[in-house]
Amino acid sequence: MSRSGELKNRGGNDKLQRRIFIAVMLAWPLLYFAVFGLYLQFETILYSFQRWNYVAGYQEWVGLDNYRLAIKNMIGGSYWRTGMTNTLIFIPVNYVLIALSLFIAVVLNRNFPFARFYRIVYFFPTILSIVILTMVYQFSLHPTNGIVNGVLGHLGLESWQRSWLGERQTALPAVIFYCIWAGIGYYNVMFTGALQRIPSEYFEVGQIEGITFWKEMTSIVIPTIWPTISTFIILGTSGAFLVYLQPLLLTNGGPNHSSTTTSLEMLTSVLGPGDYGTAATYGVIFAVLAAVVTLIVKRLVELVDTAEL
Amino acid sequence: MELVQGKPAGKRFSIRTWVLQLFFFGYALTLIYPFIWMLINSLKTNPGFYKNVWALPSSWEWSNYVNAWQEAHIGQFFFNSLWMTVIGTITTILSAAMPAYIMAKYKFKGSTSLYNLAIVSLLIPPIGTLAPWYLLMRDLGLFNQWGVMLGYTVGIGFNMIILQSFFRGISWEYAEAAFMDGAGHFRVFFSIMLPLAKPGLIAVGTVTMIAIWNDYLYPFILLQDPKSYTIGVGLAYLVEKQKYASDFTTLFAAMWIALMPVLIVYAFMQEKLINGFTVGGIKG
Repeated sequence: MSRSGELKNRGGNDKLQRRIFIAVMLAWPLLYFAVFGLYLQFETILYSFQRWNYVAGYQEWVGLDNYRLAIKNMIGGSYWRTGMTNTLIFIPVNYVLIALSLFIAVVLNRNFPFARFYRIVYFFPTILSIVILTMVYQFSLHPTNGIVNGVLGHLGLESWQRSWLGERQTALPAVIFYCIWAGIGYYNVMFTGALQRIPSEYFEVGQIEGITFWKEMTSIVIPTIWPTISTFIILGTSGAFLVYLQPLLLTNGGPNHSSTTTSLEMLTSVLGPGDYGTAATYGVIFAVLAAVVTLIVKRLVELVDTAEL
Repeated sequence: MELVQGKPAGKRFSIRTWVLQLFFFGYALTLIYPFIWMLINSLKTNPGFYKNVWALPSSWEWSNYVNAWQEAHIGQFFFNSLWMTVIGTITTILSAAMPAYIMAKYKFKGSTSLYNLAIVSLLIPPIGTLAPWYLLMRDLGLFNQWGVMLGYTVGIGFNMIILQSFFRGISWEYAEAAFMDGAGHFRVFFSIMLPLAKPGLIAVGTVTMIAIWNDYLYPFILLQDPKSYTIGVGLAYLVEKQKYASDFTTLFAAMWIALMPVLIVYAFMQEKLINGFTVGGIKG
């Protein structure tokens, strides 16, 4: 009796304490979101209508000038256009990366000899600093002392030797190859995790019926782990718009902007000349473009049904 | 029946298995050999390196490591990275665990919108807001190590989504028992719920720890005083410098020093680490 009375008395106080607790717990995350989420988005839109005048020392409103110039640059032959094309190239590159990783994960999941060793080695780039990875890659492709040209020399293929990251024709392919080389491990581990959650009877039934690798892939693997695959397809699409560290560290976007991306050009225009208006304009254009492309891809992958486990 | 069918299938796959084995091994080799090549060359003298980049060192030059540690300041960068990673991991996990716990266990008006906020913030490319972010950080005087660590404490994001599923799996009865004993909400969170969510915190924590140790963008932009460089920025700076100084052997030694902690952690807790990464995929 007295106990329920006590609880009732505490009721009002409890509610207040509960509210205080929720408020304290959410204070920092909400403040962070308000400043670095909302406020910065809002400022980006404002910046895209402004230009920084360093001679006069103030920023001025220029209406749609930034947008006009940006569109002109993207249609014309400037490096912004190369950046945009390259950024869009990274969308299919990410899909190839996902497909390749899935293939490797499925093979390793089928009692492949040395599967454990491969899994451990392949995962390795995921936990390494991008600085170290790009450095190793750069030295492997070094024109005179690198491993790749060295191996080509031993094989008598001297005519194939080149400065891989320093020539216009090979710089972007070399950056793309890097992204695949260094990216497989992460997706591989993710897909392995998803594959291990498929009940093993599924595979056993298939093996008794003697189905081929491709049949197993299309009728068991892909339908059952489709949620994981589709998530990575969506993330891979939006992730293509975020490729900048790889070209920054490998080629610095060069030679002559041939391996640049839009994000990298935004970064350089902020860090270099302090061209905040231009960077913000491309930021807005690319946020919209990324959102539209990602949403379309999201709709498309959602059309595919997932098998019920 | 099974045996009869099993055998020809095994034979049919054998050539394919060999070809695959070759490819798989080749890829593994491209991931291992360059590191070994650098290890070997980090032990040569500079003239020795230029004479033959393929040979084993004629004398083992451990002095390259001393040089890297002291003269190239890798030692200083190493300790900067170390304390920033320790503090950064704790604050980052805490900032995500707080909203995750509220989301999982406290229902109130608008509590579900936290999830939507997290999804939205995951889909918007953060690089777009770089220009105002740069000026904001400058105006707040955060072009330093504190600014870098501040950037990690996102709270509402990926870590929150993963941690809330761990909190959801913990029975609320523990909390009710503690409330009966007169414990407050904060006590329950810090001394009951956080310890119970330990597996989740460890999974998210290891991934966060490695991400912070390896982070490049924030330190690259925000750290302008060479004394405050992290090991990643310091290494990238050394790479730039070596393009003119051509002291590659010291650079390779520096790279191996940066690599060691991750390698050691990986050697001892492979399973935990890989699990930590997969946990994120489960919910994805």
